[in-house]
Amino acid sequence: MNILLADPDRDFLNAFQRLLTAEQHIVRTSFDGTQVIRKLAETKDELVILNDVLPRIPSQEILKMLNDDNLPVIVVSHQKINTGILIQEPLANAYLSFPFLPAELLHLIDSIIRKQQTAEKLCYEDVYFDLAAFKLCGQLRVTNEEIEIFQTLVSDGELDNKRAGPYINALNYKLETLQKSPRIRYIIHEGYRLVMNSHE
Amino acid sequence: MNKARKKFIIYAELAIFVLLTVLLSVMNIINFTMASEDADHLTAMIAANNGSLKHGNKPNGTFSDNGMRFGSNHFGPMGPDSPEMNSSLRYFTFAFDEDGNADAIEFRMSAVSQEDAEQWARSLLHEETGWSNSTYRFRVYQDNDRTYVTVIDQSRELLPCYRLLIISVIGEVIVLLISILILLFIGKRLFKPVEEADRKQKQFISKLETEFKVPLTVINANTEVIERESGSTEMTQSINKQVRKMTKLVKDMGTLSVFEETDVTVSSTDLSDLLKVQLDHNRSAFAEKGLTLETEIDDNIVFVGDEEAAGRTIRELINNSLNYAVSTVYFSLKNQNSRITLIQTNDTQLPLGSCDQIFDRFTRLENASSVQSTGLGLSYVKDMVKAHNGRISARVNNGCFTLRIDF
Repeated sequence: MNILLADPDRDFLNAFQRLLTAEQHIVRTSFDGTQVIRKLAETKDELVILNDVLPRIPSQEILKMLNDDNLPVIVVSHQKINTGILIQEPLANAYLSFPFLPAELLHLIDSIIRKQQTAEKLCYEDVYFDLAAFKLCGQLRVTNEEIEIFQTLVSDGELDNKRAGPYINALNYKLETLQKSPRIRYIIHEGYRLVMNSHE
Repeated sequence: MNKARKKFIIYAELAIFVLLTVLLSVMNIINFTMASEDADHLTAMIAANNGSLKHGNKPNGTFSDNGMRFGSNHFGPMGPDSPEMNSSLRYFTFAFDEDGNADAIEFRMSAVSQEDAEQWARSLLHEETGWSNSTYRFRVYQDNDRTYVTVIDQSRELLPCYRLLIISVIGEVIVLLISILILLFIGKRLFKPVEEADRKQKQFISKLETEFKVPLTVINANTEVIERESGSTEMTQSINKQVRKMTKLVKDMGTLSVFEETDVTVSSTDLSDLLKVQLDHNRSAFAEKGLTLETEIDDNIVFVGDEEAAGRTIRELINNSLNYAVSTVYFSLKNQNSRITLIQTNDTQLPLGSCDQIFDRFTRLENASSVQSTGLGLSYVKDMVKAHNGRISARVNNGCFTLRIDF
């Protein structure tokens, strides 16, 4: 897979370029916003890993451009992921907060590639997720984590409670925005479950 | 206002109040005692002259007398021995025989009629000496089978005492108010370096956290590359272990500055649900540690504030219980008098007393040596509570550590 890695820290670029290359990816690097734009204009990569604080051009602008081109993006962020980030546009396909383990990034890349290559849709009641497009009901962008949470709940699995909070809040917000029935609620002694919201 | 500055002002103000009160009380007591002694000296002199100052041993101090000195003849010509006292003193003396017949020995008073004065004197027959009607000093004494009652007016002599008392009270209030202003001014200057150091410490922690994040990620990635290319060694495993420790510390630091750098996001949260959910998440963790969990949670308690922060606060309290409780953990959430009260109680081996220092950053108490923690959790809780205008306190009593939060 062709990956564009954009980060202002050259050590970060070197370390992850070697790591991703070892994973059979073709990696190009950029250390500022203008380089990202220039390199993407030359060749469209299949995935962009973008630092949320890039020099010269704000990462949000680049993210918006990548959203418009439907290019999958993983944002490596200096801030903690919160609901606010997840309910606004532009939205990355996945977020990782510093500091993170290499395995976490590799897992995300694999997960995004797998979803992109499938034509399947995740359906539940009046809701469907377009896995390849990372969209909820063809309208709102969702992250990889949100899809996986929904997938886990549809198959009655257990969630990692510590990390799921903001993603669950964001999903509930998006389901409410689209006036869909399912909601994620916590049930004592059972954990998070999908329940049907009765329309008032 | 900084906590240390507030404490300094309160204690300094308290010290000034106590000192002033003691000083002014002693001054007023001495002043009043001397006025009483002067009055007794006069009544004794009248008694020695058979109830009147017209004859015999009159006050005979002169300006050439001893002048200002303490003692029974306190102030020479200014005191009760003043030569003017004979004409200026307002008093009356009645003598009563065994049958109760009254004889007016002397009556020099305008405030009462002679008849009323006789009744007044009669009412004092069974006393010895003291104050009557606030400003009148009396003495009851025997001579030739008759009982004498002398009452002297001391209102003019007591007036300075009352004035001094009023001036003392007003003076004390004024001094306290002025001292508050001075202490506020001095405190601001005095604690400026302390507050500055505190601010810089927070900035430093925040900077440290930001600056360490990327290097830790890079070290992790490089170690992973080395392990892939040359295989895992004792050295790379050690690097991984230490990096994991540092990563945890940095993540803890990251949560520290939340309430110092950003505004609280306000929304309505069902705190009852939040607490129940978090406790339910950790039910198995409590069981694994052999801890009995007891709860008393009122339904539908709505917390208006930062939802994420409230969630993290509850998680920190639960972590605290998991780390330090010996056998029993108790959580209570109640809505009393439109205030939300959250109480966390663990049985503990900590010594008795207040332990507010646990809210200081990186502070861990005596029982914490075996526990893997950074000492930042409860510091976060305190910052969160303060940011929501709440109150927080911690105490150890009867072998129980109790943390109480009021919103």
